[in-house]
Order: sequence, then C-alpha cells, then structure tokens
Amino acid sequence: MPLNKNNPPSLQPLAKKLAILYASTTFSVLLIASGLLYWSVLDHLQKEHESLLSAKIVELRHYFKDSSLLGETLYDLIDAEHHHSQATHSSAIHPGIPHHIFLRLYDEQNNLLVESNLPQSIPKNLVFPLVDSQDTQSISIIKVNPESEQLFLLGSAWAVTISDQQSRKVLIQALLQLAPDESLLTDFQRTLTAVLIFGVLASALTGFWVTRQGLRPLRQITKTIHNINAHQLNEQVNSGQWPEEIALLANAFDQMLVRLDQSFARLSQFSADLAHELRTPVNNLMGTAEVALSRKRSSEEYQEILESNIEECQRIARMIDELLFLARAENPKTEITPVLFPIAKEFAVITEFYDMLASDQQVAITYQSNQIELYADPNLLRRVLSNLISNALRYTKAQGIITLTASTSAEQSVSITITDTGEGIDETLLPQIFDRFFRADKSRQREKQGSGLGLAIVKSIMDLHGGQVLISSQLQQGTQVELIFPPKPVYSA
Amino acid sequence: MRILIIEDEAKTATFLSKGLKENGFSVDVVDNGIDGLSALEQNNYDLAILDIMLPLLDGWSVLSVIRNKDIQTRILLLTAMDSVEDRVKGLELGADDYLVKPFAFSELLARIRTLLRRGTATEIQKIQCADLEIDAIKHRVTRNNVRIDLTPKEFQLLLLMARRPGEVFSRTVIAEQVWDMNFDSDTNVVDVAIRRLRNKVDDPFENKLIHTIRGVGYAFEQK
Repeated sequence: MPLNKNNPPSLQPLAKKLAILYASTTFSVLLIASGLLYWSVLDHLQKEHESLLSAKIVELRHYFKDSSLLGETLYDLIDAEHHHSQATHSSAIHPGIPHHIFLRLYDEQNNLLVESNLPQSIPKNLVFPLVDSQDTQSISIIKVNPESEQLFLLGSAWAVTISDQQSRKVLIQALLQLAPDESLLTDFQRTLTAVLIFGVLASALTGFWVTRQGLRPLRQITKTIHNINAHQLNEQVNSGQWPEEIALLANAFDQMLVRLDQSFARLSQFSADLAHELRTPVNNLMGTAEVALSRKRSSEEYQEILESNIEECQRIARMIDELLFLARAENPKTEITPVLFPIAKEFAVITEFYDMLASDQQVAITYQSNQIELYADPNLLRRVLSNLISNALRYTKAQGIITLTASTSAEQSVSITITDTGEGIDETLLPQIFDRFFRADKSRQREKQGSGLGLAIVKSIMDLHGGQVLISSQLQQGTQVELIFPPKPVYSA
Repeated sequence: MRILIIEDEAKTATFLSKGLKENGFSVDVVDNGIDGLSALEQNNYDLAILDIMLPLLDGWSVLSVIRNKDIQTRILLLTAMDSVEDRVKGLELGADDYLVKPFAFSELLARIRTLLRRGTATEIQKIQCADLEIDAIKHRVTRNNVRIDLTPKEFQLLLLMARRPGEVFSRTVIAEQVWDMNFDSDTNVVDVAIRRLRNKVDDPFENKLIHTIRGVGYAFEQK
C-alpha cells in the first residue's frame, strides 16, 4: 500500500495483540486458580497431619487408662510405635500419609519417663506447647519451623494412668516430623505447571484463530474500499452480510461516500460553471481584438473596442475578487473581528448608498431598526446588505418598496430582514439560490445581471458569523431574506 | 518625479512604464530583485513599484534590505498574493501601500499620487475651475455666480474629483471615498450619482467639466 508511506508505523496486528491478551488473561486466571488449589491441598494435608497426631495421642490416653503399665512396657510401646511407623511409613488410621511420630513421656514433676529415639536431624530445642495439668481432655498442637527445612507438628496432652490403685498424670509430648511429602506435592506441582502452559498456549492459539475469523469482514471491507476512487464513489461497502458492529461501520462509510460524492459533484459543477463563466468574456475579448486587427480602423473605432474590452476585463477581475473572497471565507482559519454597533448606523450608510439608484428606479428603501445593537463585522455586514439590496433593486419594479428591519428574538439573537415587493423567485429554485453562479433567470441579458456570486457571498459571510440566512419568496409578491446573527458571546469583552 | 518599476513580467512592466510616462513621471524598469536593489541604492527615486515574486531576490527581501539601509523611497507592493497575512507582512516590512493584481491602472495612478502627495500640502479649500467655484468650508458651489444646490453626497463627489483635476477616478474608488463602501459592488450607483451631479453642474452649461473615461471611470477637468 503506497499510501502508507506517510502514515505513522502501524501497531501490531489486532489478531496478534488479542492472542497475547487472551494468553496473558488465561495465564493469570490459571495461575490464581492453581495457587488456590495448591494452597488448599497444603492446608488439607496439614489438617490430616494434625488429626493423625491427635489420634495418636488419643490412642495413647486410651491405652494408659486401660492398663496400668508404666516403666518397661512403655518402652516397648514407644519402640513398637517407632518401629511400626518406620517400617510402614503409614498409620492404620490414616493410610497413605507417611509419618514418623516420636514420643516423650513426663511425670507430674517434669521427670522424663521415657522417650523414643529422636533422629539426629531433629533439633533438641523444640518447645512444646504448654498444657494446663488439670486438663486431661484437651490436646494442643502447634506447627514449628526451625532453621532447618523441615516442618514439625508438636503436640502436648495430659493423660491419666492408674497404677497400684493410684491415679497419676503423665504428660505426653508427641512430635510428628512432616516429611516433605515430595512425591505427592511434586506430582501436583508438575500437573499444575503443565495445565498452566497448555492453557496459555491453547488460549493464545484459539485467540489468534478466533480473532482472524472475526476480523475477516474487515479484510473484505478493505478490499472493497480499495476499489473506490473519485469516479466510483457510488460503490456500496455495506452489502448487508456483515456482523452488526461491522455493518454499522460500513454504513457510516457508505454515508460518507454519499457526502463525498455530492461534494465532488458540486466541485466539478463549480469548475464547469467557472469555465463557462469565463468563456463568454474571454471569447468577447478575443473576438473583438481579432476583428479589430483584421483591417485598418479609425482611432475612434479602436478606442471603442478597447473600452469594451476593459469592461469585460473588469467583469473577470471582479469575478476573481469574489471567488477569492469566497475561498478565504471557506478557509476554516479565517477569523472575523466582530464589534458591537447600532444597526441603524449601517442601515443609514447602505440606504444612503443605494438611495439615488433606488429613486432613479422609483423604488423606495426604508428601514426600521428599533435601536438594536448587533455583534458582527461591520464591513462584512455592509457587503451582505449591499448584495441583498442590489439584488432586490434588480428584481423590483417601479413603485416597489424595499424594507430593512431588525429585531431580537427571545434567545438574544438578532435578525435582519430585507423584504422587497419584486417579482419573486420560483419556489423550486430556492434551494439552489445560494449556489455559486446560480441565476434564477437564465434568459436574462448577461450585462444586466450580477456575477451570480452575490448570494453565495452572503451565505459565506453569515457562516463566518455562525449565523443563518433564510429566504422565502412568492412569485409576483416579493422576496424576503432573513439574516439571523447569534447573540454576542458572554465571555468576550 | 522618478519612479522605479521592479517587475519581471514583461507585459506588466511595459504597460506600467508607458502609462506612468504618459502621466508625466520619469520611469526606469528592472526585471529582477538584485538589479532593483542596486538601482534603489544608487539613485534617488521618489517611488518604487515592487513586485513580490521576482527572480534572484524576492520583493520581501528587497523591501527589508532597503528599509534596513534606511532608504526612504516610497514603496508600493504589487502582487498576485491576496491574503491578509501578506498585506500585513508587506506593511510591517515598511511598504507604503499594497495593490493586488488585477488592478485598474487608474487606481494605481491614484495611489501613486496619494503616496507622493503624502505629507505635503494640505487640502485646498477653495477650488476654481473655469466658471465653477467650490467652497469646501461653506459647502457652496456656484457656477457663473449662480448657486447650485447639491446634496451632501453630491457635494462630496464633486469635491473629490475637483480637488484632483484631470485624475481618473474609478467607480470603486468613488464608492470607497464617498460612501465608504470598501468592496467592489457591481451596481451602477456611481453612474447614477454622476448623472445627477452632471444634471446640476454640467447640463445647463456649454462647457462640460465632468468627463466619462469609458471603461475606467470619471474625471473632472476643463478641456
């Protein structure tokens, strides 16, 4: 696309962008989900361990209560437990959870009765939770994490033992070394990672594919638009088969094409009109000069020809002037310098200017301004009024009246009305009346007509003021032109 | 009065030179900015007509160089560029006036005369031309000692032309000076006004003073 040369570098393709977006969204969702899952599994495992430990303590309590064994047998018990747990790595109550439980027993005077062989790896300074010695029901369990990597669950509980008809209390301290549980958790982690990677890849790919599918209408629209040029502006982009969002875009584009088409038509009409307007005076210039030179003439004849040529040139010069004025007025950068002034002053100046011409034609010009002030550019207003009065005079017969009035509306806008009692304009022609070079009566003699730009200039000046011009007319009754100026903005001084 | 024309368009330069010579000026023509600059530096011209689009050195540069060197020749800029910014730029650089192509020669002449007159004599208050007398202060016009009644605008129109006898006034200039219409309107208001003025000033008398220069405008003069 050669047109892209001056464009800023385009962003990444939408499909790529969306795929990345999909993937990163999936990644974060999966990451959070698996994190939560992992945490809940860990939590569950810890609860399992706690219940294992307390089950062991309960088991021991039960054992002490039933049999009056202390001393030697206790060793056996602990040893047995120790070996048993080491051998099977699992307990009868909680199969599947590997564990090592180590036990210590103290009497009420805090003398160590017996303990199982603690492995070297277990730090000696573990602090077990304290338990109220009156309380032989509760079990307290804490989780500790000394410097080493390992985790321990420490449990303390009082148990009652009956020996020689005597009830004694024994403090049970149980230690469960939480094995890193490698196999289970590692498997779990691996699965989670796999799910994460697969999920991200899958969502990136589907995202890419889905976007490409979804954007296919855009590519087709682009293809259609490529075929449009100034000569084929009536090409329709909206073929009615697009999804709703794209159809809206296509529709807006079609409407823009229609507007462009109209503008192009107006522009080419204008060029044609301009060429036509120039053709007649240039033809006159060429013709008269050529005929004049074709044979010797008297100096009076030469003078007459030159004079006629100057008149043609003046017409052309005025046309250029007016076209340039229109071009400037249409330039959005053009600004006007409005001031607040009494309308009566301008009415007086303009009627004085046209007074002699009007009385020559036996037409009266009157004005009525009610001391209204207008916020506008006085020079431009004068031009507007001059063009309108000149038009009115051209189409108003003797005994006619041209009236200028000014009034204010409720919204503080000021309107100026120029009414004549002239021959009027055919209603069907009114919409074109502000077009350049438009003349209501094509059969009129060229010399008696204006440039055909007068009303176009009126319209452009009103546009510059942000105002409006309305025209209404009745054949044989007269024409009324209303100029509506917006109120003076409050902010300007 | 010496006038320098700096203009590269040969036809424009030719008709300007011819027209000005016929109106009593002594005229030199150069066709580029460098020659124009040296001519202005070496000779003492009363006025220079300066085109903006020139080969070698454009009109803006010529203007700013001579103003920097404090050469006080009056400068009338002549250009096809017609934007407000251009006008402002020209006047800021020290031009005395600005005329846009296409222009009427009569208007150029009028502007040149105005520029050369600038700062000299005050406006004449009593004018006598043949048997016509105008008193600008009392607003009285008599011809052959007969009082002629004129409307204020008719009086202004007569005074405008009579103060510069022989000078041609275009319709645009008349509309601007008498009615303050600063744009070219395609009505024949001025023609009607002149006709009425003639009606009072010329028609009853043998010796006509107001003359139509066809295609150009009007002039006041005893022929």
